[in-house]
Amino acid sequence: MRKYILFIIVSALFYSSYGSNVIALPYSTTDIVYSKIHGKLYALIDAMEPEYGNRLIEINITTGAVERNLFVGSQPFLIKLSSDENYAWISFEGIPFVKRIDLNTFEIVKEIYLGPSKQHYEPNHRQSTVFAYNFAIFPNDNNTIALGLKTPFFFDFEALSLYRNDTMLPIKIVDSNLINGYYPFCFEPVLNGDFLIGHWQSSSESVYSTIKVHDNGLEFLKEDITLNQMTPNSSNWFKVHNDTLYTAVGEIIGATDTSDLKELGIIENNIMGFTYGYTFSDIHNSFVYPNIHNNSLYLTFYTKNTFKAFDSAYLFEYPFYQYIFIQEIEVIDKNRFAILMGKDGEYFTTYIIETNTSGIEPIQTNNNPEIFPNPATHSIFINGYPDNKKIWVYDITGNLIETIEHSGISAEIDMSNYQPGLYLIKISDIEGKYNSVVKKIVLQ
Amino acid sequence: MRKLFTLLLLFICSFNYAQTVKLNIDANCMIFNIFYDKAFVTVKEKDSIYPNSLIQLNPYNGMVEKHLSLSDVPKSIKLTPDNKHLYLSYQTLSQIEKIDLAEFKIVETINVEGLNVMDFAVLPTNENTLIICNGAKVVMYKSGILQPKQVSSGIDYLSAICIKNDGSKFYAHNGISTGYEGHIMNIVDDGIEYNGIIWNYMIPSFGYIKSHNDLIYNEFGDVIDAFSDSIPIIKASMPVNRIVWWRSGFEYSDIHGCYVFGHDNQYKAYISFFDGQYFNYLGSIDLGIPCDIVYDLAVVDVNHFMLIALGYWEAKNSILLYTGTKSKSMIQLKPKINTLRQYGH
Repeated sequence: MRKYILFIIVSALFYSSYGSNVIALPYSTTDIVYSKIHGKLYALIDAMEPEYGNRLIEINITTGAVERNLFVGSQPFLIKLSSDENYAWISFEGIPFVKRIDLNTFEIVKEIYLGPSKQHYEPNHRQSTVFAYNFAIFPNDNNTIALGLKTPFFFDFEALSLYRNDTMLPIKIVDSNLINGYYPFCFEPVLNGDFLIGHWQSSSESVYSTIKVHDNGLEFLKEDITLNQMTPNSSNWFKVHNDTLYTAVGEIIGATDTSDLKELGIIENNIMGFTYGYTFSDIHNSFVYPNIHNNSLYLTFYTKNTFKAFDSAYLFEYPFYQYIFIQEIEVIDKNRFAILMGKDGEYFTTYIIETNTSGIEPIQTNNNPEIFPNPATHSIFINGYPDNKKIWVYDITGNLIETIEHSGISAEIDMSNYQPGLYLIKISDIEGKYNSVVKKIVLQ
Repeated sequence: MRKLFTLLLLFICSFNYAQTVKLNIDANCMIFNIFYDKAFVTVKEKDSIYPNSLIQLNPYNGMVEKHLSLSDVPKSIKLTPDNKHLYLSYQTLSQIEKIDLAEFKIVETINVEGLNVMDFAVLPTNENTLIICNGAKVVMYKSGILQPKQVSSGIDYLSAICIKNDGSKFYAHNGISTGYEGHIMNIVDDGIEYNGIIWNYMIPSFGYIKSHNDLIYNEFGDVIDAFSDSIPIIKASMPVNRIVWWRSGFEYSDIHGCYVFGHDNQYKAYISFFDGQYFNYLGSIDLGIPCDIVYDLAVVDVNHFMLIALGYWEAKNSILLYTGTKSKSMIQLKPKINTLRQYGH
């Protein structure tokens, strides 16, 4: 009851500062997915949540009410829909399982145990329990998933494996198979599931790998490091739409018939970057990225051919001193979006926002100076517009640390005397002709 | 006047009565005995009043009702299945004492022949049979007699054991080396047989484990089904490490239907509850006591809890007695950030 009252109050408070209509769900959530076929939003509730913790909940998108809930297991992490949307697959951070949920009956219909078992256990060898750090669902196939496996606690990647028809297939890719050891954190099927494209990202390198899917397992084919200079500081995650990869920083990469990767372009805009959710919307037939403009957060729509912005939808005010994560964006219909987000790295909760996608000017694209490296160790460089810059450095709590004025296209800020942490860099032109830009920098 | 009295009574009834009493006793470990409705606590050598002793404590008012001087620094205590006796091991002395809790005296001393006892367990089906482990050996004593079948190879640093309820096998955990291994061993008439299972489950633990309905759980909230299949399975993992800064005292409470953890968080002592069925976090009670580490916890009843804790910047442990209603006192602690999600995004 208390939570329901809180839910009404929060929704009412956000009504004024958000888009036209907002349902703020009060549950700490790890992942969401919207099913067009069922017309429901599905959310995995964090194990720290007293109500519905460790459960999958089915949400009415009109009222925000929880219609069904199901205990799925400890610390559920990722949820993905099968292509027919009859099933949802769930991975966990707390237990070595991947589970399949029948969304019609709302029950667990398959549990894949990833730890050592009778099947995998060898008595004379020490076998470790493994967790699925990521997984991928194959198109039009409810019985095959690719699993990225790791040991708990230590972030050692163990293997990429294929699980098909209740069996872990014998041929798997382990670290040593990869030429340079760039082990993919994220991987998605392309070309009707004949190949997996993997992606590995550190603070300075971005490597795509191509993996052939065979009947009896996976074969590593090649790594592509030619794409790694496109945009540094991408995240590990990428998504795929019609064999086109798109990343958090707006890289658009196509998979050719021979599974080669080809750079198609980049969304040149003030998009939020590597800590933010993004999606491709079939309804809008466009890429959708969050975007800051005049201290407000928008969803901006980009054409799938030219990658130019053509429309934006206002979400809410975004003061520059706040650090907001948008984890996931799910498109419900033309004007409704489910957004999983959290402030300052705290609980992530879901907002169903109804907004207007028309009548708002596309955001200017020319005010996007480049700041690198990020994370930084001693100093950062600011390259690009405007020529005569005024730079403000804030800490994460919004305290102004330093103000710098600089002439010329490139500027260097010495941060060697700063404490490690997160800083906000606000950049504007001295004449004040253009809108300011705020970027976040991690100092190690 | 009667109206005023009624209002006063209503006010008192609605008041959320909760308090923590701190006893300056340098305790080591404790156990609550439901049969006698008493707590039994071992006390370390530097305590000013009860050094190297076992004490009987009233868990409601903190009164020390009995104490028994011991030969050395006590380590672990385990109740017999009927709750009428208690076995006690020492830090360095190679012997185990059997203590009659009614008379509060040692009734048997078992010389364990040079074993430095890391942990031991009483067979649920026979109170005179003990399974004892030290760093490199696991043995069985039956009525004080060492049994011939022992396990002494292929194991390292076993620090804790839990026996299956039917007494047929036990789970032994290595919580000291970096391997964090689990072993399954069979209990036979004349000792112990290794059944060939080494399970490297890679979850850090200090090696403190307990058992409830044949589910093993540890101080970080991992719940292991060690017995229903040929090798153990991680059944659940409560997100204890997202609110615990150091180690915890822990116990499954049938009364609350919860796993209960006593722990520190930002140098304060808390009792936190995790659902016994769904394993999610329910909330915490702030004990209002500065604290560095919680070593042990015992649930007395629905409103009474006991902890052994090292106070903030203190040199000796204390016993904390908490009285209060869980549902009225619960707060939500801010968790640490989910690491895997941060890595990926």
